[in-house]
Amino acid sequence: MSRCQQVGQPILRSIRQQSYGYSYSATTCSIRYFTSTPRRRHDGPTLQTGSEPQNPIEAALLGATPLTGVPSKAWTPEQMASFTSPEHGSRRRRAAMATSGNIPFEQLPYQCFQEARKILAEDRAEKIAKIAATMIKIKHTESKDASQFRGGEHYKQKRLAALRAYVDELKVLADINDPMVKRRFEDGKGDMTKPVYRYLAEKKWHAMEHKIITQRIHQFHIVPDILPKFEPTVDLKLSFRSYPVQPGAILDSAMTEVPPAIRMQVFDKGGRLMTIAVIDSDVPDAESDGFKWRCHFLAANIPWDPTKTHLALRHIGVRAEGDVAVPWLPPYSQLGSPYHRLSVFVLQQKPGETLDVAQLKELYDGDAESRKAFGIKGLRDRFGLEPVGFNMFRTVWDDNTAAVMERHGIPGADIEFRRARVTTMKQPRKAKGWEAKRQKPKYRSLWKYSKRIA
Amino acid sequence: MLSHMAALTPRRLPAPLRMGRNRHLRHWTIHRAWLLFRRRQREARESRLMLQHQSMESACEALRLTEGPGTRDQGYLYRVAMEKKGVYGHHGIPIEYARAQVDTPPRVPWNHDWKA
Repeated sequence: MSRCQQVGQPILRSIRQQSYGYSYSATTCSIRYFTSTPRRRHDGPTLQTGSEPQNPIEAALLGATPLTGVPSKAWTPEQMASFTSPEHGSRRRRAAMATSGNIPFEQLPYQCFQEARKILAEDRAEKIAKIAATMIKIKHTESKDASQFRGGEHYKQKRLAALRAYVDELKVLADINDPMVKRRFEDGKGDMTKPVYRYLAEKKWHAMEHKIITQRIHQFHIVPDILPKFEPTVDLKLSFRSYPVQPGAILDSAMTEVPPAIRMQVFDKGGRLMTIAVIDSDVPDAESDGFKWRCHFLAANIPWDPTKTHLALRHIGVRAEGDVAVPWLPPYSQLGSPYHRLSVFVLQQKPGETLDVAQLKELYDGDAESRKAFGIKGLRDRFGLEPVGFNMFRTVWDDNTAAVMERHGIPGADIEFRRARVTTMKQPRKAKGWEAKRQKPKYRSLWKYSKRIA
Repeated sequence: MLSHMAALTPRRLPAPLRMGRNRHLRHWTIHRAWLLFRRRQREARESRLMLQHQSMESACEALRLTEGPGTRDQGYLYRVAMEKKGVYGHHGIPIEYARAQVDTPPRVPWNHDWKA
């Protein structure tokens, strides 16, 4: 026996199982997961005296005979033969690949992995028991009369809400350590009706995108210009003409001529109705020498839940549910005015309440003046909405603005804004310097140096 | 330009782990299980220590409320038990009496009357 055969044989024997040979199945594997040491005693003599390997795969891997005529359920002979070629890694690895069939990920025979899974399964069982106990407690609390609580009905509802929050937390904790949950979430196949995936999604959002949005709110003074206080809790992304847009980007007016599509993810369970509003907060107003707001889009009663992600604003009221109160007005900025901040706000309506779209239309969808009467704060206060999502972009005068304004019948493309000239109140200063002094007739001889120089 | 973390941090950082996806998932599973295991150990230890401390406290309280032996008044046994004679070694000084090390000498350099 050559040296490499001597080295390879015990490895192969430890991987190969005595009677299963090369065709493992998942069930046999679940009987013997990861360790071969205790079974080895029953395998008969540990060191085989015969130099002939008994398994054709083993023989082929050891280089003794070419692999021929191997019947297999899991692999075709060609695949089988490919496992014996050295380009698939070490001999040990090839043997493992050839003999381990299609074992599911969770049953892969790695000792430490399986021990870890045992610990995690134990923890999960504990959490589930806690969930069951808490559910019983909730039922008990619900059945009790409010007069039995110290603070009455209010106290009872508070207690119930706390218990339900605890159950949600336990549901997250029960599944958070599952590698398959992690894998599914990373693949984007997470079921958003389940608390653990919502939790993971929220954590991912908070890792970067939420920070960026918060920074935009801060640096573009959305707080306190538009709202006195605002903390976004919903992931909102914009795309124009199916191009995703970075928050705060300056966009071409040809891009923004059509309404955007939004990608929105809510992280709390249940359905609710949303209102979407787009507001330009930098409309120059020459009369008051200041800036005003203008409503560019307003739609209400859009049903939303965690499983929904995508909505094109032009589909609202047509293909998607919801009512458009103010149709899309392409954002524009006249020549000379500084960049306009276009903020997209998503506001959550009170549970079970729909907004009266006729009233919204009457308020905000008229001439340019009624659009200017729009404000997010006013909308929030008047209709009891809660701002939850935010995103923004900017617009400046560019080559396409005039054409866009003409196409949509917006007047004012020929207006250019200029800063009013501020004249100084100081007295004009006398000319100073060597030349100025020598302009007088006294210095006639030096005029050739002091007049018409340069 | 020094932009790499290894160049900017005073301590040498180990290289990031490079693993295939399945292997990384297994690694992650094991890591989570290890964290969970340590948390359980820690919590078990803390609760055990807390129980021990509470039972010691209740024993001391019981001692404080007992009278005797003989004609001794209430709490005598407690006071005796709380004495720290010999705890710090033969003729040792309890740590409570040790002077904190300071920059300046004390007003009274040596207390000649002091007895342990």
